[in-house]
Amino acid sequence: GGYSIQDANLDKVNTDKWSCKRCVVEYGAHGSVGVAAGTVDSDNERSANYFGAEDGAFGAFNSDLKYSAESGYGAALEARNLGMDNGEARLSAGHGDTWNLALEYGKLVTVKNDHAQSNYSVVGNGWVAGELQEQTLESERERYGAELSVGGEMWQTYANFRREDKSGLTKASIWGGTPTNVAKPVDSSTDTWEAGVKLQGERWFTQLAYLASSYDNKVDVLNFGAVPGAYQDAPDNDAYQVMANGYYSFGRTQVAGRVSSGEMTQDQDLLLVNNGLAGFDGKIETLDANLKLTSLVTSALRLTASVDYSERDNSSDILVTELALDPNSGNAAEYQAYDVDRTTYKLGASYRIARGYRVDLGYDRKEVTRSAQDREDTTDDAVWGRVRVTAFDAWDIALKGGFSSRDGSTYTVTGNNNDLMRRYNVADRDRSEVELRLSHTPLDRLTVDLSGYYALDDYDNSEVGLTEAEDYGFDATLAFQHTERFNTHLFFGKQWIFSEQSGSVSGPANWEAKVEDEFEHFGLGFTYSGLMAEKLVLGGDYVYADSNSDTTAGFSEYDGYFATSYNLNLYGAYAINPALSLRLDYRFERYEDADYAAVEQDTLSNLVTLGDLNSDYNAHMVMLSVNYKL
Amino acid sequence: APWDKLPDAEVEQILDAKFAEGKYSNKGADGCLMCHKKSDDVMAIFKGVHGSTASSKSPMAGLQCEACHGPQGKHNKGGKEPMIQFGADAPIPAAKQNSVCLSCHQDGERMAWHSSTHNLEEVACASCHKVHVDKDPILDRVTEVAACTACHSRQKADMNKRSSHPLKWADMSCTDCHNPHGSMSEAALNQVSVNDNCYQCHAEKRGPFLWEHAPVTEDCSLCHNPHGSVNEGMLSNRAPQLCQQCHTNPHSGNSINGQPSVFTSGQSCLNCHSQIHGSNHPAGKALQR
Repeated sequence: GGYSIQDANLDKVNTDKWSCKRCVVEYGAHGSVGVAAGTVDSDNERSANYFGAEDGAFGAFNSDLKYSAESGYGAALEARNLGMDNGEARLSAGHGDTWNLALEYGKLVTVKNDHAQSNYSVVGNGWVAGELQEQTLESERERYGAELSVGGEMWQTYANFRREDKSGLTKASIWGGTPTNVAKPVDSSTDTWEAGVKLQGERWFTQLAYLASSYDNKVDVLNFGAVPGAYQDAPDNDAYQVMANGYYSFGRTQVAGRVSSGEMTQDQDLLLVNNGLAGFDGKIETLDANLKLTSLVTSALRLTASVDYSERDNSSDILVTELALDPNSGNAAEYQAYDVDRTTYKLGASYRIARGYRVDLGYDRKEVTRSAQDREDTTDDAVWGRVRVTAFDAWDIALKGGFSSRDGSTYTVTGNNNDLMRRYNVADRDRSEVELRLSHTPLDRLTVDLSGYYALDDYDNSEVGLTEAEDYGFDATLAFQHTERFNTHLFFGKQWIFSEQSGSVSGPANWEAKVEDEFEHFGLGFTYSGLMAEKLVLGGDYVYADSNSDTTAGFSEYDGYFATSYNLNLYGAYAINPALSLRLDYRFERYEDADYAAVEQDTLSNLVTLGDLNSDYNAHMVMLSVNYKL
Repeated sequence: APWDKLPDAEVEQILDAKFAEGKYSNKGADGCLMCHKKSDDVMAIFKGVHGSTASSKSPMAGLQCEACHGPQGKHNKGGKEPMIQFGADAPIPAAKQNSVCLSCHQDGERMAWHSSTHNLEEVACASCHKVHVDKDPILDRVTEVAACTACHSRQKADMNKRSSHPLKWADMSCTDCHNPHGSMSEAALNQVSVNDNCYQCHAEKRGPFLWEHAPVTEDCSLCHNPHGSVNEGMLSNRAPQLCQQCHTNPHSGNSINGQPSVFTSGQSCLNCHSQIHGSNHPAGKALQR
């Protein structure tokens, strides 16, 4: 029951007189190209995450150019903020039906903190002590990609390649003696290849694909002063997957399936520390398979069913020359291989009671088997239901509720944990959740969306560990088109996330901790177009967000942990003539955060920190763009 | 349109009958454009791929306007008979609208459409996509994030929290991880598993490491919320409390008060156990180097 081309009644079609004379297909080059220049005034480089540029002047190139020829050949050049810290470009060319080629480039800089303080910096292959200096914790990702596809009426082959280089400094810490927080260099490349062949007919599709990824880390083992091998950075690794998938439509019933088999490997030489571990060939074999079925049994009833299977098999080889000892406990440091098998079954029904009234019901079951963990098997059973009413003009109402329960095989506490400890990812858990969504259009020009939700996780059988978690809140959005030219939108929301846990070294719990997270945000935006004889557009966006977390452990309350941001963007775009336009942007960020953990370097005698990492700043940006429309 | 006042069910019935009857026009697009060429919105189709006559797969190279809007029937006699319309406010159910788009777009990207949440939630393709344009705005990542978060308001809240992936300024987009048309993976993820998705950008966490941290190998989302958190590092809880939800041995099971200490300050438990995602140091079983 639809209007697909495959189901169309084409018996009476006579296209003899169809000439498409009035079709105004635009060939040649069109689109727009532009340059921008601006300046940032900020005493905290964290603002570059918003502005895409650090303190000082910057320039950028933007483009949305397209060329198309009557012969079917085409090309496009898209660029966004190219030349800035966060920018990208894509050049593509091809012949729609037969071949396509694309090249892409992108850069993304993320500044975590620009005033970390450390006496240590990396010289050669280790940290060397020196003067206390400020360091910027930031990462720069630069990616280059190429894509090629060649195809015919019913088939397509493709090959993609992408390289991402990552550099910068990140937080790390050195264990031993006095634990020392340091800035660790990041210098790595990840190559990703993908190739495949796709075949398709009117009612079916199938694909065979190969995916590979190789991670090359130029940072290896780092010494810390006179301590050799103090820090082993992530080893190089490789991974691949071979995948086959397919789809078939029986008309009212569709079936889709996929099988994927892969390996993740790592065989970097181990550092020689004479503790008996001489070699390691890491190998994880993965197998994933799934099948999804949907059927429109009648015009009012849709049934869905799916099964997903996933297997992680650790088949690493380890060369042990003598028994290694754990540096802390003195116990034998026995190698542990973790395997995980997971099967998920889902059944669902969606029934239309009457036009505008629908009920959905579902049952999901997840079975997981793990090796070498506290619990071998866990099972999650979930039921959920939903009612959606769209029968009333201007209203769309949906109420959803669900309950799930996890239990499993005998719980055996591993390591020297408290016997009553129940790890939250394998513990018995009951989860109840409910959600209400309302969308109301009281006027043609006004839309109001509201949603409210509540979820409770109850770990009833956990005496020690996470015992309860609650998550509830609401969101509201109003979009108002005051006139053809003037519209505003407004949103606000608030969320509370509470968790409770109990602890004890042995025996029943003798302390409790409670974490209360609160988040609120508010936003306002407008656009006013058609000013000054249709030449000027004004617009603006303002977003306020506040994250806060309070922790109480025992009777002790932790200090402040919050982040508050205010972001503003105001712009005006003026059309000098139909081709040439100017746009002026002003952006402002006010940001403040606090974290009780970010203490000055010399606060504690048994810990060296990276100093007071809290931020508190105002930053401004002005940018002028010139755009030329072809 | 003149049929706006008819009940939706009646419009659908008329369209069903017209579609079955298959009375296509004599002149194709030329006939339609006699009236509709006045509309810039209609004519904008010729700027995009759906209006191209150069590609054999384009509707304009086939049944032209009627490929999507259905057989003309008597619509040209005064414009009172409905044609197939698209969008969230169109009188016909999403599934029927979508059957038109899926005629051509039933490929790898959409092979799991029928079991996808968007299909089951009766989202029309035209609720997100525009065909009568030069370039579909949803394919621009800035408009994409705004379009997704118009419904996914909790994710919009998440991306404004203390830590999140850079979606707030559209330096990343929802489709970097998810396929809105559904996928064979959970949560419509692009990659086979949750962890495979994370490894796309965080390949250093893939290992396998000599010393693994069991939950890390199983599911990154056991500790992290990829949409954002009030905690640093998108952690659902922070250290030391997060660690103490699984580790209560003589070293880690004591109550830790809020005063500055080696357990709460700096990087908390990670002051010593810094290799929390796994260590490849032969003496790194406790994930300390």
